[in-house]
Amino acid sequence: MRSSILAAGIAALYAVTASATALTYKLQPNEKSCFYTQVTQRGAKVAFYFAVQSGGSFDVDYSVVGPSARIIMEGSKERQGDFVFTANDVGEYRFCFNNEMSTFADKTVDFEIAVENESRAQIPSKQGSSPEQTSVLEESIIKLSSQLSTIHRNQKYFRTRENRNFSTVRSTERRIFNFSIIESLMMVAMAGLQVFIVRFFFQGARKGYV
Amino acid sequence: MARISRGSSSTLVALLLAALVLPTNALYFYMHGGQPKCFFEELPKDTLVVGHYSVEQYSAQTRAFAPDHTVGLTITVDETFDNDHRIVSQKGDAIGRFTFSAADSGEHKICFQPTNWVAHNGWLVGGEEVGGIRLTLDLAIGETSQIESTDKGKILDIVGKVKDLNGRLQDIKREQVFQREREAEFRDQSEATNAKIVRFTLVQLVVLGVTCAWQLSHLRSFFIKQKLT
Repeated sequence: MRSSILAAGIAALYAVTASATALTYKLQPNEKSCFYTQVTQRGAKVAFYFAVQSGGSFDVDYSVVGPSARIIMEGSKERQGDFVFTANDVGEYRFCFNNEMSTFADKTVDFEIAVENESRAQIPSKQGSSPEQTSVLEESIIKLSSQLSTIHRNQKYFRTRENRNFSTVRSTERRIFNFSIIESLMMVAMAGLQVFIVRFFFQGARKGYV
Repeated sequence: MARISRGSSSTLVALLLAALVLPTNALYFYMHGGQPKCFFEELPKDTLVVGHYSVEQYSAQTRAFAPDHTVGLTITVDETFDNDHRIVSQKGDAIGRFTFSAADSGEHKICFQPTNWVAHNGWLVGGEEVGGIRLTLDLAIGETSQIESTDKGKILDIVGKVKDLNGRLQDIKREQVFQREREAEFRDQSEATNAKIVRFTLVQLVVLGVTCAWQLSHLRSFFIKQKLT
């Protein structure tokens, strides 16, 4: 009796496997970097999210290539992307980011790759609770879980935008400093030039004729 | 009954052990030339990070990647916001795990460098990488990493699921605290920029006034010298 429950529990371990890895990688200028994952089950859903956190104009080239070099999706100069696709082939999937467009700016890309396999077996509930009760509870837990995922996504979006705002303000500060210095120098140079020209008009043989 | 349960219990144990090993769906990437591969993660304070990794080396005989127990991995974590202060430096085997907790909010640099590996250079053959080192990494960030590190399998009943939801809520709360701190920094930066504008405008006005005064006095003395005024 106990071993059958244990067996069902262990079977449940293999039934629902969703693995998600979220990493932030800094791409050097002219660098191409790829990350791979194995899909073991035909029809598994693969979720791919990326957002450029900092660098240049906050865009990057990306491509998703499936087994046997089949291009699933690619884009160039994208700021962020959130895709879910069904993996029809079993094998190695390659997610590549390309910073060859940039000669001196390095880009920080925050990406998340999640592979979700379909569940085959039902997870056995605790003994002594009616099936309707547990299914209602399960439903509300699933709803809560998806709402929490939405909140988490929103937080990532705000973090990305906040990074961009920070970068804009810092660049504004630098520009103010540079422009002020240039303007002061130009003012002094123009004043000197004006004085020189006026002196030239009134000097030498032209005295009294202007 | 007893014979059946003994046979099945050993297979159950084997299955359980297999489930605890790195799941095959985790992310992996290839490393060449002994260069470290670094990831920059912005972590709120007190965030627990647990990573499971496995290093595989390409062997020319079998033409495949296989775990090689002579190869190791050095994991280093630096706090880039605090002068690159190193908080973790760990040398591990080919398969292992590491864990650390972020003491302060900010950007942490997590670097992986293989040690003791044979220098075959990697290259692409028909779209597939050949040679070099393959590192499979499963990084769990946040409160859920606690549950994942102890029970690498899946959540079996409602109590476990609710605990998982609680953990994720704590993650969200910590991220919000972190976001508040960053917004305060951003506000400071904006105010500093605003003050700089005022300062540089005044500086420019002063330069303009001084230049004007110099021009007029110079021209006046010049005209007096030339006997035109």
